[in-house]
Amino acid sequence: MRPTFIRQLADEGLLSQTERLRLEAQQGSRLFSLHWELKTLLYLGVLLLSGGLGTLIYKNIDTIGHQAILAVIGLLCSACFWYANKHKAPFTWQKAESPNAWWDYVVLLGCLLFISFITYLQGQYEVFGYRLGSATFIPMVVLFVSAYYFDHLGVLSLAITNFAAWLGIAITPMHILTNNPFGLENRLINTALIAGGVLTLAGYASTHFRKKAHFSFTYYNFDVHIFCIGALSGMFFADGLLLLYTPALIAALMFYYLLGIRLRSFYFLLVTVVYGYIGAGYLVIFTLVQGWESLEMGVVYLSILYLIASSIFMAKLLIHLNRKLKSDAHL
Amino acid sequence: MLIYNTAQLDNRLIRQDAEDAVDAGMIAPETAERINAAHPYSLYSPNIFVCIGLMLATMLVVLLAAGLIFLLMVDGALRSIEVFFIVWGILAYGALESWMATHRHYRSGVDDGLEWMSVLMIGISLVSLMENQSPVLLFALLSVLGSWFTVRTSNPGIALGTWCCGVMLVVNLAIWYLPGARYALPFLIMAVAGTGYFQFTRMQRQFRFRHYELALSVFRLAALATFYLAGNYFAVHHAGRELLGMEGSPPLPWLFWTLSLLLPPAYIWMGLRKKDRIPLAMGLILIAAAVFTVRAYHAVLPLEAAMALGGIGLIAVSYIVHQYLKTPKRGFTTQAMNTRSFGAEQLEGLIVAETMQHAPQPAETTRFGGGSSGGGGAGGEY
Repeated sequence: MRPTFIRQLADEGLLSQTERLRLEAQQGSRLFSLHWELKTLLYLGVLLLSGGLGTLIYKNIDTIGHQAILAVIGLLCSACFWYANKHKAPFTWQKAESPNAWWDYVVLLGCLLFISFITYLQGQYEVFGYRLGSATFIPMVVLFVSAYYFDHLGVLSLAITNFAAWLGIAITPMHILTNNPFGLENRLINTALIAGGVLTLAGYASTHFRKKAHFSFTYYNFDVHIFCIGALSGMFFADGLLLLYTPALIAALMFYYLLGIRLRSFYFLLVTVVYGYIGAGYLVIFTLVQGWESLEMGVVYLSILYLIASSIFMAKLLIHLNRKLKSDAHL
Repeated sequence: MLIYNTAQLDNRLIRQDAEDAVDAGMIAPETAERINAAHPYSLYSPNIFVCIGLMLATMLVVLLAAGLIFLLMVDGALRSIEVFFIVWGILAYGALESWMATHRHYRSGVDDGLEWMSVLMIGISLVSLMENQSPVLLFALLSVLGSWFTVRTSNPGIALGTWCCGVMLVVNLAIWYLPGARYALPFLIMAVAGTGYFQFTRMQRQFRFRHYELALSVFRLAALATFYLAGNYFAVHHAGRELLGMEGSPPLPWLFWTLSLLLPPAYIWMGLRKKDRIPLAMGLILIAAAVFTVRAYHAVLPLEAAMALGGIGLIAVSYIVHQYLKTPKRGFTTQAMNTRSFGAEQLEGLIVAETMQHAPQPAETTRFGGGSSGGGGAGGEY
């Protein structure tokens, strides 16, 4: 607490003498936490090591003996899993506290190395044959099992993106729009809707059966974006199927609106409002453009007026929803 | 000086401090309740998501309103488009002032949106108006504009832009008016940045600048980064070539190499000694800059070997520190403190998924036409 405030509060009689002395004594002897700095270092270390090893393998695949590479990765990986397993909290279907940040990243490194190992086996020896998607299916299973066994949100996120990759779409934040050619292939839109649906079920099941209920947010978070973007792409690109994809979007928005209210998570309400705004804006302007013959430039003016009015409405709606949830900021 | 109600902001700070004190077990929760009752906070500052939504909506309204008027007077507006946008920037600023006079908002998104629209419209118009005229005048005007907005709103983003404009002003003044600028420039910038850093640090400790805390932190980070860049061999080399037309390697190479390599650890040491997060964070970031500087001139190792070794090094450092600080020593701990942040774990998970995708993309899945690769995973190339 700032010294000026301590004095002010003490003068106002809000602090007792002992509290005042304790606060003043605290000034000089604060513990300084290196938590986030160390966590960032670890994150970068794991990122660099796994990326570097991966490239190293790829470039030297012909010169180093395959068995040697496999052995090194396998050893490192087992060491990680051995350490992680030794220090982990006993398994529970509830949230298990991780021992420390260091342990979290050992688990992550172990999983990443394991995937390198599997991929290498598959690439070099085709151990798992050429069955459809086997090279993404096995890492996915490993990641899901590890995520649940070690109770690790980072690994779970990796598993979910791997699940989507197995279906053939990208759902990581940066790639969701750039790596999926929704406009070119209608099949991708349906894949996105299916992936979204499955993830919603997974999220719902997590809370309903109380199995790792704290995982549900991660499922829902990936799902709401992939489903809404899929449905919106369907409205934009799939000719003549507007009547099919619009209800899908509305259903998803309703679901996530109610979910946001129930979880008291403003994040989901905001996401619903934003996707709803895009969808509604598209429908209105699409309708206006149909009347181009008679309205001509009026279409442009009406569209802009609509957008201004609807933005103000959106702002009011957000403020209203926020009051409703009383400023909850947790995810 | 702030457009906000500072008495209310004080109450906000007192309540936050009280909450921290409760978390640290310094005062009883009942005391905090009494403090909260005696210091009500009634400004509208919603959570970050509402704030983002309101900011987007505000920016959209301003842009669309400008666009609508633009369409209505398209002939005249096209002829002097810069002036048109400056007028709209000033209108947005007027809207900000009158909004703050009548509404009790603080960082609600509406104010941020209006600030950014105003400063961007005026700034970009100034840049395109004075493209071919004196850069000194341009950067002087931009610095004044940015300083005004920083003083009025203490917006950290605008503060960063202001610092950059100020540094560019110094650079251009030196190039145009200082004989021998080519040799003095790095030292001049280092002097400015160093003075700036100590000045901002002193200000941050003073009670009367309490509402500029975040903006001052940004200024300090920017000053440290500027100081490093002014002494960095790579930056000096390239800036000398681009700005001053110098050929060959810069004079005093040993000095700039020493600064490039020693400043980051010096920052870290300074941060740890003073228990100050800002030099510590900047030092950690600049370690990467030092590595890139070396690699730009001497490829000691192939990239992938350097990555793997660097990764092992970072993990080792982190392991040693974790072991050393198992019980807090010398006032340091590895425990998370003040973790009132929302969903940091969720965010971490997303970042991990984004950057560490190992999802291999074998031939058979490509027929789906999508999928993702990235992050440089082992299997990414198969």
